[in-house]
Amino acid sequence: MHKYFKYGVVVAAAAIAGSFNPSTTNAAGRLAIYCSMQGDWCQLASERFGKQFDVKVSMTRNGSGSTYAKILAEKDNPKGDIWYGGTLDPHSQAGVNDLLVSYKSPLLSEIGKPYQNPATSQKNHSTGIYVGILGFSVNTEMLKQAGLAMPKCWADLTKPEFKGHVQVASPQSSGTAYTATATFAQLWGEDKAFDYFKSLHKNISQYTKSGSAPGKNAARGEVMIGIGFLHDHAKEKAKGFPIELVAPCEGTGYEIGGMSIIKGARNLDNAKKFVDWALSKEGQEVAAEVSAFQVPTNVNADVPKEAIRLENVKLINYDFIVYGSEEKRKGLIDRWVKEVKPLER
Amino acid sequence: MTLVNTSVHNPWRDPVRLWSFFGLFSYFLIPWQGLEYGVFDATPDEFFVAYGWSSINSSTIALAAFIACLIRPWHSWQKAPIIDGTISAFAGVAIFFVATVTKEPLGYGAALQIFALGGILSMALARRGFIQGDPFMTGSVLFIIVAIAIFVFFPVSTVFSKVLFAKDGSFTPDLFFDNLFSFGIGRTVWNSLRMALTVGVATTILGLTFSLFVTRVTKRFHGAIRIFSILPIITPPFVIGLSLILIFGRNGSVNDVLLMLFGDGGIFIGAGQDGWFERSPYIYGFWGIFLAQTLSFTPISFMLLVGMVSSINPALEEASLTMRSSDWQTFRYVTIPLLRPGIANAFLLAVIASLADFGNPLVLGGDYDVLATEIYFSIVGAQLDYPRAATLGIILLFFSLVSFTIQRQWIGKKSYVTVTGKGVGGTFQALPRGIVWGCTIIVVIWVIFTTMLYGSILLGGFVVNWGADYTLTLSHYEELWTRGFGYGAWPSFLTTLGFAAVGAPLTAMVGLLIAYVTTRKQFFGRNVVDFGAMICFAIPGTVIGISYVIAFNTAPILMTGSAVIIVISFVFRNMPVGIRTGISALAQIDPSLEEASLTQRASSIRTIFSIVLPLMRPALISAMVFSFVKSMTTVSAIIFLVTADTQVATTYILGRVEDGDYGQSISYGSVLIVSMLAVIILIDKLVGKSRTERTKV
Repeated sequence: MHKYFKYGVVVAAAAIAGSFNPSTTNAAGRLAIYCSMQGDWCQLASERFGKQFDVKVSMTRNGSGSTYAKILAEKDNPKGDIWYGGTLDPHSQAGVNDLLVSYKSPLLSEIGKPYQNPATSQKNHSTGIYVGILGFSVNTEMLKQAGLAMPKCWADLTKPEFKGHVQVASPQSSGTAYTATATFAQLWGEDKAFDYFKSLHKNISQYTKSGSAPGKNAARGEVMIGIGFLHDHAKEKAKGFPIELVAPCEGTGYEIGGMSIIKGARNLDNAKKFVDWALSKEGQEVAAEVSAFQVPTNVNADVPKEAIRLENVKLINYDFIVYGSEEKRKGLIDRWVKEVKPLER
Repeated sequence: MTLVNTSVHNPWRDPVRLWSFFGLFSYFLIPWQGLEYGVFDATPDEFFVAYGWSSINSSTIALAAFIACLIRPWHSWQKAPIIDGTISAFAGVAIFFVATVTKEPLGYGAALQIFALGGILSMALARRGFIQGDPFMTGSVLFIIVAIAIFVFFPVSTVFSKVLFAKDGSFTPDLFFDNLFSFGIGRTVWNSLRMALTVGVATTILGLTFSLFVTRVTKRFHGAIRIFSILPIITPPFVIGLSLILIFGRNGSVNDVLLMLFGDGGIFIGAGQDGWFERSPYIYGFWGIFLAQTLSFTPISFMLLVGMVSSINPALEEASLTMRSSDWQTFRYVTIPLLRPGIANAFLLAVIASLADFGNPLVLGGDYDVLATEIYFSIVGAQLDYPRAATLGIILLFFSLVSFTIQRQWIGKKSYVTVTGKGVGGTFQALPRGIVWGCTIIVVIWVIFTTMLYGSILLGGFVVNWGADYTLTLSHYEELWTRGFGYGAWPSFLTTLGFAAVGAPLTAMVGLLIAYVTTRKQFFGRNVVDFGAMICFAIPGTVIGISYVIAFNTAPILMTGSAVIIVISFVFRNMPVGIRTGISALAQIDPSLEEASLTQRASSIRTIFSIVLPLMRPALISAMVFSFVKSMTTVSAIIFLVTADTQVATTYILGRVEDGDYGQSISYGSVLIVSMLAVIILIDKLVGKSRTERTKV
């Protein structure tokens, strides 16, 4: 409360003087979190941790791409201590580019094996805190109106009757769409994956910028089918929009939510404390309270009932080390830009 | 040319000594270095270390310079100013050099003392006859040049060096050309240009229409029209996009209504019959961006043009009519040509704003790629690619440079002076009937359109979920505003208000000052100043943001994470509007008015405050209002600069949009809109109308 008192008076001069230089902290008992998940999740987790450990937490929320850019830009003088959440690939790149600290939490034993040390560098830079499954959502009202059968597989989406009814983000701008590209490449091999993309292209109404947009558009009836992470779609569904979530029959890929300690963190001890807490059962169950329906990586944590359960999905053995590397990434994206994007629809 | 008489009877009251005293004063009282944890939270130890006198460091240079200029053994020498100037200029450069080498973060004390050194230098330069020997104007020019160098050229060059130098620091110009000719850039460029030109034409016509309507057609709806035309700029960018989707989206209101009327079994079709209307496709793409940008930028043109239209001297039109031209001829050959600088400025600003616009293409772009969003996604997208971002940035800069030059050439050297010292008589003549009707129709359409748009924003905040569940609810507002000042929307809201309130007057003052010195004074580097200010406007905010993070994250100028850097980015981003408004207004004021004041031995400060500013009051007000609302709705430039303590309204809303929480985003948006409207009306009431503004009685 007292912190905002000075703003309350709106004597703006005071506000400026008060924070001429980096935010108001005394190194001990503080933690600066860069958070790349949905806002209320970030907020709740920060509050919960701060209260429990009597640490003054300051949290900045930004997409994972922006946060990576920020950490890279600040590398000579890091302002953040921990990078909490967001898809793993930028975490991987940060690890490879020497922006992170290695840390093996004592709680790793409670974490599912594939998520303990998933990043490309393989130096315990990042730990997986949740899993999100790739799939698509179908607006059931639009489907009924058009009198079409429910698509169940990736292959169904290329059927001519879905022309103009499918949306996916552009791999150029969205990590979600990159995960889809990498998933297809691992399902069928790269050449076949691009053949699939080319035939899917005819049915695409538009490539969105943001990875979560196709799901939102499907929920709001802007488009019939949206490809994206199903936990995002589950949230729309829980709000009452008429969509059905599909985990495709051929098998599908997934994302891991990463968590890393930033190199040069000014509050390293608290950052480690935070990692331990965020990996614990109670730390991971925060998600469900803000209706974030990702699957927790802690094997003891309860899986929310709205979430897609891992055992009901055919998951591919996603290779985060290969497909998280910058070269592979650039190669796949460039190929999409050259071979798929310019085609006529 | 006469030098201003600066000899003072008491040599100790010489301005150079006063500046030195001021510098020494701040040397002892104010911490030289920046405080890592802020003024209020620093420990006494940290305070002590931050003082310049606690050790030998870059501040010692300043100390030496001040002591030398205070004792001033050369006081009575003929060439004393040369010595003063050399000492202060050398000290300023040396401080930056030493601080860079020793990695000292410069703080408030350093800022004040460098300011004092600037004071001594401008005194010295003025005594050598720089700018007619006017110390105030010399100081202003110096201040502007240093500020633009530090806050525009330095960060921008940091980002552009990313394309010219590889990671290991070697010079690689071929990287730029690789990127330039790489796949897909041509289409992006064409998309951006097509959009900018279309939007430029549309907004200029609309802006002119509204200006004519409120000044010449009728005064009855003056207030309402003003509010309606201002609404779009006080709306955060995402909110306009969202409401366009709510209305024109595939599932939006317009489609619903048309479907109900003309769709299968619609009211006008008859039950069971096939209708002739199907859901129109998507709004995303060219038309979505076009609509949103036209809505957003028309008010800019309006604000630029309305001052101009209302201060046209009616005597000129009267003269034309007296000489038997028809009203059309008068309009075409007298009124419009008089408005030429305004029209050119409005078009130019709209083109540049459209090129740099980021919020609207982000929400409504679909796969219509434009330069600004491509730059953003080159940085935060699936692949962090600075060289590509920088290449696109250079292309964008090139186009705004071109439009800038064209505009300069077009206005030319004709005289547009209509406010002179001579008496003005006459009232405005009626406009041609066609124009009156045209204006009225366009205004009516605009009003209906905007009402729908804002109706959906207001309502959208009160329903559970637009498009799915139209049950009325207050939960969005409760969530945002009733959980105490430390929660929900309050912190970001109050922070934003504070930043905008500090930034707006600064922006207006710096902007108008630049306009004044560049139009009225001749000095070396005039065009560079003007161009530097334009760069800020032309470059997309995202690139400014990332360049500020890179440039100001290390000593000597360490400011990331602070509130100051956000205010500074506001000032430099919005300043061009202040400059343009100022130039347009100054073009109409006869310089002989100021010359009269100056020849009567009023100082230049006094001339500015008692002659220029009163005449420019409409420009001053509109610049201030514009920069205030613009600061409150900026997102792209500060998205990389905000921290937990400096979270602002737009970034909070963007977070909600990203989470798909359209209800909360829209309700926060409506609160922002209403509060900014209140501020604008308040300013209008307090400051009142200028005497130079004439409207048809």
